[in-house]
Amino acid sequence: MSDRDRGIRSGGAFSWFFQRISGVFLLLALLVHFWVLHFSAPDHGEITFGSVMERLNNPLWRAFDILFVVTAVYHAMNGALLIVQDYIRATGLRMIVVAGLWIGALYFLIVGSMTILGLA
Amino acid sequence: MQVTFKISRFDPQQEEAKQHYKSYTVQTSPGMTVLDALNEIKWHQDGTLSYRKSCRSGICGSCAMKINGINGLACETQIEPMKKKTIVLDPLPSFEVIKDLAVNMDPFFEHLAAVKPYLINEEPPPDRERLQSPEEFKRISDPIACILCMSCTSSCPSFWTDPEYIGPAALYKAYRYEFDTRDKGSEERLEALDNRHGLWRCHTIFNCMDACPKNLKITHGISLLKRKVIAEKY
Ligand code: SF4
Ligand code: FES
Repeated sequence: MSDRDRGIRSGGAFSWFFQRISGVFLLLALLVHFWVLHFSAPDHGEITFGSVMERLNNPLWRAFDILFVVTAVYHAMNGALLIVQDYIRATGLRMIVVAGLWIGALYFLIVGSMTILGLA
Repeated sequence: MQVTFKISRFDPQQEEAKQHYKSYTVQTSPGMTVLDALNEIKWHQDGTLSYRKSCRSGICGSCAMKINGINGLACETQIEPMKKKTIVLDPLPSFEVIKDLAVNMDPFFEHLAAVKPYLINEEPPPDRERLQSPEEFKRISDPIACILCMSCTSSCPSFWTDPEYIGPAALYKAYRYEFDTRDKGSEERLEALDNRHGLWRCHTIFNCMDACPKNLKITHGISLLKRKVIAEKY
């Protein structure tokens, strides 16, 4: 192991382990998400703006949605990071791509949270 | 049966040395192995051909090479059952070629040394042996059969993209000691295992298991090792 690598990251255990945990969570959360958003219709068998807003006004649902966004962004970006580590050998290019990933992650986090909080 | 051997040649002493293929025709007989054919070529056709061999019986691990695209032992691969008119021989991928089919093995053994492949136990030795039950031994009997032929590490796509990755053979050796009830060296091995070029580079691609001439369950061992490290850390 070169010293440069030591500086970047000590291990990889957390990234490996949490990728699996977040994956399981995302699978369950996706099922819930699809069910409430597209299939379950509390208002006389129809999904209306009103029924969606009512759900979003519940702080527990908002917390769930935020957690969903955060986990999804983490899982996707960590996966992309692993691919970058595997395939991009040139340090300069790797730094650029990793920076791009960070910007993407922040963008999705902010836009996602603003949507969830702003709608309510 | 007449078989053509297309062999990768590289001579560093030649000016503008370039890798190229040279073909040789060998008259085969039942039971003849790829190593026998190589000997036939070297002894009777072209003495400049280089390759490694020693035991010619699948014990020493010297003769691993890429045979028709798949890593394996030349001395354990019989020619006639392959039913091929042409057999292509290449050196093990991802290692520096010294000459023809011989590669530089140093990086492989450096990675192996990094996992401290020996019993670590500071406790004073007991009067007699450190005993194990047959069940305890069964867990490590598979990796003990490894002959360090390099076929697995050289077949691993993670190793192709990251030469610093310690590779399946070293990880499997680490598994052999980490799951040995007599060993107490987990802490000392952790640094070599838990890093960017260690355990987490294994993406369970299974190429190593396809390549292993001893049919060892390498990926299985590495996965158990991952779980052990996670359990110890969290
Ligand atoms: S695990 Fe199998 S392929 Fe790998 S070095 Fe040992 S014997 Fe060779
Ligand atoms: S010559 Fe020893 S394993 Fe093939």
